Amino acid sequence: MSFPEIARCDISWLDGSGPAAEIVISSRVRLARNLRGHRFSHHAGTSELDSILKDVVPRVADRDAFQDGWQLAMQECTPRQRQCLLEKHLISPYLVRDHQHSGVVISADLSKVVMVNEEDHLRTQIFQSGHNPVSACQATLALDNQLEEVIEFAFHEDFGYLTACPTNVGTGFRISTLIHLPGLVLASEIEKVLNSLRQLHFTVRGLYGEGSAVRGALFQISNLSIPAVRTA
Amino acid sequence: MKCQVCGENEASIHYIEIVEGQKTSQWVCASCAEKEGITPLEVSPLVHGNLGSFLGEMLKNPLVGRAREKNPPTLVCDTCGYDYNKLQENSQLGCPACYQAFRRQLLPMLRRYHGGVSHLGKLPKSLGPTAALRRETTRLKELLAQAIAAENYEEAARIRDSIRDLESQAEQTASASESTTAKPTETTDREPGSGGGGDEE
Repeated sequence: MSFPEIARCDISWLDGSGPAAEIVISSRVRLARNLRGHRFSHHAGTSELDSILKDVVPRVADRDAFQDGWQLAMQECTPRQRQCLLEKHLISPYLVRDHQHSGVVISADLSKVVMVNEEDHLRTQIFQSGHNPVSACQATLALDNQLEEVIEFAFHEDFGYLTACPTNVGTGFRISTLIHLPGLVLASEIEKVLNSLRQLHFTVRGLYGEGSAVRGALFQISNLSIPAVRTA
Repeated sequence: MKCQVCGENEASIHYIEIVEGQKTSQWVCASCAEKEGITPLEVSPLVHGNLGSFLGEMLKNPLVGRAREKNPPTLVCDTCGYDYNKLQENSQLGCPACYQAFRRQLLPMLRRYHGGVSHLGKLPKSLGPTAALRRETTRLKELLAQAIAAENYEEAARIRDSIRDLESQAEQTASASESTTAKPTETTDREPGSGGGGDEE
């Protein structure tokens, strides 16, 4: 499939079919993973990053979850295409900024994404419609298991999956919900709710994640500490 | 609730003091708390959601700072050459082996941020089936020590039996996987060397 098809393709998790979809637009799970025996992205040289990109992207794209999907090198995309990917939540602002040695693999329904050479070598994201965090976690674990069959991740028995930033070490999970709260905003009650959330170790961000502004009463609420997700 | 010191302002801080096992608590307002020298615990950038500055703050924490002073100023990771000072600057490590190289400096921060330093979540399949059993055994041994310290011998005996069960399961699994390795089946299509896994240091 070519890039214009991505631009035209509907985002499946925006269809409002999930639980509590009148309030919660989407549930997203992000996994941070790094390759064993390689320096983290920010410390690796350009040849090491290119070699990771060349090695990892075809392995990921070959997994069942990405059949009929896309694999894109960021450097080969135009600035407008990168902006389009960002607006569809298919890449992060990091990949727009540091696009020279990074890439992305996207599933056909745009609900599963693996960014390569982001802050971590692999950033896996799964989106589902509505308030569906458990189902999104299960889907993410299943995809992670598929990836582990072909990629060996950096892991330590005490620390868990090793990440560039120690705040993500462990399971590497971050679970977010994109929630629309116009009533609380209009009633000026939103700050009370957000403060309570922060005290419960949740973080609140804007529509496009870390560093983005809150617009249109859309809030992205995520866990701060990393949950220890047990595998059944 | 009114402040229990001045009785005028609205109380916003719950001050708990434990002296020789005796717990006393008091609700105080911000101005009385300041006068009494009470500073709320864990008021950090964490609650404002800024991860980068939170980590930087933790690494500047007096406890960590003291640990840092005891180390040579040129603490670097042998594997990738990453300097510990860079971790303090940009809150990132250089490579997976940095976790071992800077282990002592990272532990207080990880403990505060994640509430512990023992990974309880998903294990890579490449670690083999005994890894989960080994981890559970370690956890139970900690519980056993706690039960003995609390003189809860009935609970300790129960945990001891569970540990024995797990150890025997681990032995059986290890011997079963050895015989599987001797006779490869259709499931053993991993890359050479991937079986060890999990050892970044």
